[in-house]
Amino acid sequence: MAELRLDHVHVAIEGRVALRNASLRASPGELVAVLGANGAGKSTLLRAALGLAPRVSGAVWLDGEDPVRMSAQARARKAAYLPQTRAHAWPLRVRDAVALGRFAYGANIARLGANDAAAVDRALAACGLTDFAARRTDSLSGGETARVHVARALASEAPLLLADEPVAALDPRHAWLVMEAVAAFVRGGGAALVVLHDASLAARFAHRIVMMKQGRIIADGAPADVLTPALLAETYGVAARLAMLDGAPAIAVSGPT
Amino acid sequence: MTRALVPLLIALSAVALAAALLIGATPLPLERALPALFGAGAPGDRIVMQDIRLPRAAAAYLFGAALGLCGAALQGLLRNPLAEPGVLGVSATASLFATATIFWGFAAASPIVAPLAAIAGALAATALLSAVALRIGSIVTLILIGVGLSSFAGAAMSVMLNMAPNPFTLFDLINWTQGSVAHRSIADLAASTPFLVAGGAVLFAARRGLSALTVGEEAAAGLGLDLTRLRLAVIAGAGLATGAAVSLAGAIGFVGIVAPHMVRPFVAHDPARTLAPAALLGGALVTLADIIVRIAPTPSEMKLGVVVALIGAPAFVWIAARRRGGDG
Repeated sequence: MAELRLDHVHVAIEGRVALRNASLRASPGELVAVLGANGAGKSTLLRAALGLAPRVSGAVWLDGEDPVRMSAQARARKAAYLPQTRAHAWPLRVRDAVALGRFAYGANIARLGANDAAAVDRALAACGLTDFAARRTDSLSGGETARVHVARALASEAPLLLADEPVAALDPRHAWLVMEAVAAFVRGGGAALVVLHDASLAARFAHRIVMMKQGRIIADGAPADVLTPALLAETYGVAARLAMLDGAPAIAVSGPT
Repeated sequence: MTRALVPLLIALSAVALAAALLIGATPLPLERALPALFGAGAPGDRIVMQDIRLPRAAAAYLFGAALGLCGAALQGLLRNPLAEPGVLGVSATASLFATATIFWGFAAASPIVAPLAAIAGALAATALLSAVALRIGSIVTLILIGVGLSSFAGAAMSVMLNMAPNPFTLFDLINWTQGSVAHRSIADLAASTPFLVAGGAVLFAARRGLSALTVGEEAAAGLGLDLTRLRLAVIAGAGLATGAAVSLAGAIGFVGIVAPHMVRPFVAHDPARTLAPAALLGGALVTLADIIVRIAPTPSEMKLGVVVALIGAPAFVWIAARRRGGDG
């Protein structure tokens, strides 16, 4: 069980401030969704949390350690990271692509040890990919590929998961399947920080929603508290109406403000 | 098939090397060739086997193996099947550096001068390419830089050909520009092989990182890959091995594209698993190509680089044309 904390973090990229005074916490058993318009600093927030973005000031703790001081391998054992996904460069087999999640444990994907193989099997099952294990990644649909990426992250069995738009460009069914796999990881005691664009999907799965605008965190709280017409107008520049459906806010956008 | 691949390629390599040792201008039956190879038999036979055929076959095989390995490693690093020391201008730069030492006479000082110069040239080219790769993630840009490096090296070597002080230097320079393993000696092999093996070992040690790069640099860093270290290892390994290989055979292109491309389907397209079979196949292919050079009924011997390019260049075009776009 591990916790992620950011404390007043500033990040500047090529002289431009990309993240201002960001403080945030993701605890075991918590799924935290990050929302905001394009360019609001969501990806930078994730990269800062991993020590991959240049931090000007502030502090970050991955399970009590500053990721900047950790080796890439040690960091990967604490936190699985899914950047905005791109295609696999080579048409690996699904099982091999998922087995890359064991890289930080020294696993050779051609010859997995018993522990690594078991972790890969669990990750494949958690993402509904057991029957796809022998398929080539270039034969998969976008939704199946997204699940392969999530399975790779789960295979690491790291206590923290940071995912940047894991459901981008997915149809509702596949988006749901991916979020369900993340939710199951969190129910098992993991902590997840997930960048999303679909506020209704975030409201349904997240315990907390972090709203970002122009590099700042402008709201952080339970979905019902954060998702208000005023805040949606401020964040996205849209007029939206909200209704409670099955206990979670659902958003209908009526147009730009 | 996957499991049988490496044993099959070892068998192919053995057949190619045996053929290279047994086929030649002087007909030597097996019962004379075999003892001569191991230092027995008539002195004339020993010279043919130990001083002519063995170094030539070994140089061809080592060159092909090094280029197959470097091609596979660079393709893994750049995530593109068209990356290769020849296409990227690394071989030509190595060849230019080595020819310069021959042209100005430094190479006469010791058999290790030309290999060291070739390695320096290869390292300079790989370092330049990877500096650009860091800034611009486009393989097209890298290949264009390769075209520039190759053209410059070709032009500079043409100038040296024009200014060659004597026919022997001219002949040497032509071998370097067109690629040949004729007239290699055991001393040449002894000077180059340690660097070639060291570079190969560095690349082989980096193979797991190449697999991780399949998911892209950012995601691979997330998996726990130390990107800087991997890049340095591949630059150093490919520079050492390519430079040493070029010092044995000159600039011969396309081996590093064709060999990895042929083995990839049999190793589930895993960059790490591509390295060893690509090296074995590269060695066997160049050894076989050199047999063609030797037995082809041409009035003067064709250059090995020419024969390899006749087969390799169309293969390069075919692989490039069949690629789906999307790599900028």
